[in-house]
Amino acid sequence: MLKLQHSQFSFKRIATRLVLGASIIGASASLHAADPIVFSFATVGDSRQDPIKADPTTLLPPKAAGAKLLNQDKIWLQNTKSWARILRTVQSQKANMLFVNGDLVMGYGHAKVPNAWATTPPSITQVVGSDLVRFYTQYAYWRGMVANLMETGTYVLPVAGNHETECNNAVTTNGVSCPSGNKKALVENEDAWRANMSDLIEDLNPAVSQRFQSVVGSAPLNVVGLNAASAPQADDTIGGTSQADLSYSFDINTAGGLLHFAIINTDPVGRDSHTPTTWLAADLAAAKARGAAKFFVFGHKPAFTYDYAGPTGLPPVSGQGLDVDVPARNAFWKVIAQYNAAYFCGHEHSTFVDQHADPTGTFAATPWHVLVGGGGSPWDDALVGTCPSCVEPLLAHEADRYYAWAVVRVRQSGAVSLDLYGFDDNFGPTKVVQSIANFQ
Amino acid sequence: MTTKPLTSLLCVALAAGSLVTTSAHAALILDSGTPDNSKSPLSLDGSDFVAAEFRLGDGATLTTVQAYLNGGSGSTAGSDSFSIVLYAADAAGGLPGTQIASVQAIWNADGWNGASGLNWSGLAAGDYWVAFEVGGNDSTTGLEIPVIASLGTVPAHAYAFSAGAGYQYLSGNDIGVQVSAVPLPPAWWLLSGALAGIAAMRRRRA
Repeated sequence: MLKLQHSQFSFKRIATRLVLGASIIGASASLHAADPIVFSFATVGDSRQDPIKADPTTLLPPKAAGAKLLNQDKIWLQNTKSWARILRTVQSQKANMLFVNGDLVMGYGHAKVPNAWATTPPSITQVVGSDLVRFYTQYAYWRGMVANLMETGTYVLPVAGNHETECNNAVTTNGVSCPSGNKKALVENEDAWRANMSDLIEDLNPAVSQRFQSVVGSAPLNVVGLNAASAPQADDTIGGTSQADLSYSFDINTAGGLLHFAIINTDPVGRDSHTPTTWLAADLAAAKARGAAKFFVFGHKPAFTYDYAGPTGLPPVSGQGLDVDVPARNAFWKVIAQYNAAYFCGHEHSTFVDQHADPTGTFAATPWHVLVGGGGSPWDDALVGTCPSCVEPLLAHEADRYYAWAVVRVRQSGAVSLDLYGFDDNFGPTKVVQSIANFQ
Repeated sequence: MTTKPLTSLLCVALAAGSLVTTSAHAALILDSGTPDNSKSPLSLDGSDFVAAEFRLGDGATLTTVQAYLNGGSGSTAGSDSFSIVLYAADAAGGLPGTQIASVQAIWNADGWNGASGLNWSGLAAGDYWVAFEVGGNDSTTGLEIPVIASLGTVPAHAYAFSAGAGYQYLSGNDIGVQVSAVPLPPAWWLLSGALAGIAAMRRRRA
């Protein structure tokens, strides 16, 4: 007779054999077991969908002219399918934390009650269609999607992107144009960020960090940036608004050493595409003085634009991130190199990991620059031609059009590795795209 | 007196059956090939499963199932575990359907990992899938499944993967899988024939 399930007797026999087999495995495996993973985090950015420029692969079939987004994503402007799968896999990979590197929501409006409403009461349609409500509902949908991770051992920490802080004339419904100019950060948008994200960040406060500790298993230490006084101040890189909960940092003490995490807003009011370099330099110096062994910095915009078109014969891509102001970018990267920190970012909707030397030549380190902007937003390396006859572009690298994320693992010895996971735009199998054994 | 020929026949059949049974050896019924790490490996984690399809021309008992798995940077030898699951194809050449059996296995080192000494018996001729999954009782945070570039001695009929929404066919990413089985022994047919003969003779005498 067919055995519907393997018998307990046979299972024990197999388990015994496997245990015996395990006892005679090679030295490399034994070493692996002797150096367990003590902490890990995942990171990815850019999960927002685009109401105008959605990648055709994310539209309902047939993917011809006029193809539409699934109504769900049209309302909430999230690439739900890719984002849900990424989150599901990060959960199964049991990362302790997930850093999401900006552009979590479409945003791009002006999160303020329109002046006209003071004299003319708005209709329901106007209220629901306002930038303010759109920001809040998009945040709420995103928060709902990540909520489950908090219940299964992965704490979610958000990083602000330009879609959260800036206003875009083509998107805003709060008037004819954005008050500070096109694609400029607004204080109301920074306030909306805090209104919708601060509870996640404020949990780092030692006085109320029970949730963080219960999820992560470690207490956050030496936290700064939860108030305006300890956040970046108005200086050469910040325009002057409060950066509380927009740029913040903390330590985690592990058996593999003291880890330092710094999150920076790369699009503050008045200084779009700039980093709080002065604040970061002081922050990393203080962490080093405390004995931090590894430094991880998260921002939205890349310090070095990834030229995904370069080897394919197409015009090169440049100036998409902090490199719009090269001297300022160089000053930032000099700080990164001084501490041999790793910088994780998004903004470009692609995935690429490489190293960059200190442009000023001051420090010898060549820190890692990890672009993980493949959370679900329209691929920068777009399909060629008009659908339905559109075709995949000639890719410079396998993961150029992958929904991808990185997982960093810290071992007891202090060794740090990075693995890049992803799946293609046809939602094929999840692959291990790149592995770096000696990441830090 | 009249029972002697029957008894003798039965004894011969049982002896022959015993002889053939003990001499039956497990043979590879699926040997898809050995990966060469020439492409990005697939991920095996709590959300990402893979499966390979094989065909049984006759009934058989599965004894060994293994996949070529690497630990990558997320695994610990000797403690990471995964599940091997046997499915019937949902139709001839179809995707994994009804689950038949499962067993937990331990990842020990880069290379072939799986379970031997299985006794998944009574499988009739037909199409089956062996799947490698990570269930709630498994402990890995992720293993790597390297991809093969050339066919093995007994290629799989098809491959499939699941990313949390059921199995779908997988192309261009063949994985290393080996399955061994013992065919239903001829002794069973000898024994069945002898018993049928005894029954027929008894009916004739009656």
